Amino acid sequence: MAASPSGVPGDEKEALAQLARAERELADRRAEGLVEAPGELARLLASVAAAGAARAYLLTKA
Amino acid sequence: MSEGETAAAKDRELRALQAALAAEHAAVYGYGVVGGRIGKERRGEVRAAYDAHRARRDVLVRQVRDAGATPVAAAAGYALPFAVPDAAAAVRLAAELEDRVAGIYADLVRDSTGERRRAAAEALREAAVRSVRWSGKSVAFPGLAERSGAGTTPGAAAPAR
Repeated sequence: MAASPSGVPGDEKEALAQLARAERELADRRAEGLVEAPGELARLLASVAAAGAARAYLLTKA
Repeated sequence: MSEGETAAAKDRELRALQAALAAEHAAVYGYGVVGGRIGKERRGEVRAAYDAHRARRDVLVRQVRDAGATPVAAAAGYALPFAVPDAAAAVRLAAELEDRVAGIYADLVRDSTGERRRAAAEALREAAVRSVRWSGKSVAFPGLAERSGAGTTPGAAAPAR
């Protein structure tokens, strides 16, 4: 299946998997960034990272 | 940082660790209730969550000891936030337990540093994922009561008095 010009795979399942991977990678980067952040910002980053991981789960479940 | 500020930060971190430990004790108890009411098809998920909370609890016990304090003990029983007569209520309770734990770990992220902060963020993430597994609904800011429309229930699974 050819990818569209936007880089999103034409196959829906593959597109969702790619989106979920991107969400997880972003969550991982935020988890790294929060270690050195001031307290309240770290708390917010951790929450946003957790939300991303939860969204990734919802994107890939059955 | 002055000596006084360092001591205050350590004290805050220890209090947050103890709060997280108390929340994990409550979650372990709560999942015992969930396991007794939930349908057969989801027992594997309950078991996995139960084991995960026990593992986090044990890590927190070590961290509190390393900080030179006595880890808080589990209560003999905990008041549940609502009656759990059936499988549907058990699923709601499981989601509630995760939301409660998420809030406590968000605070621990704020009040800790280094590896302990990293572990707290990971625990928050796991709780948020388990919460949506149970509820099917995601929230924008897991663990942040002040940014949640409905608000998490701070009294969820409070120790019975």
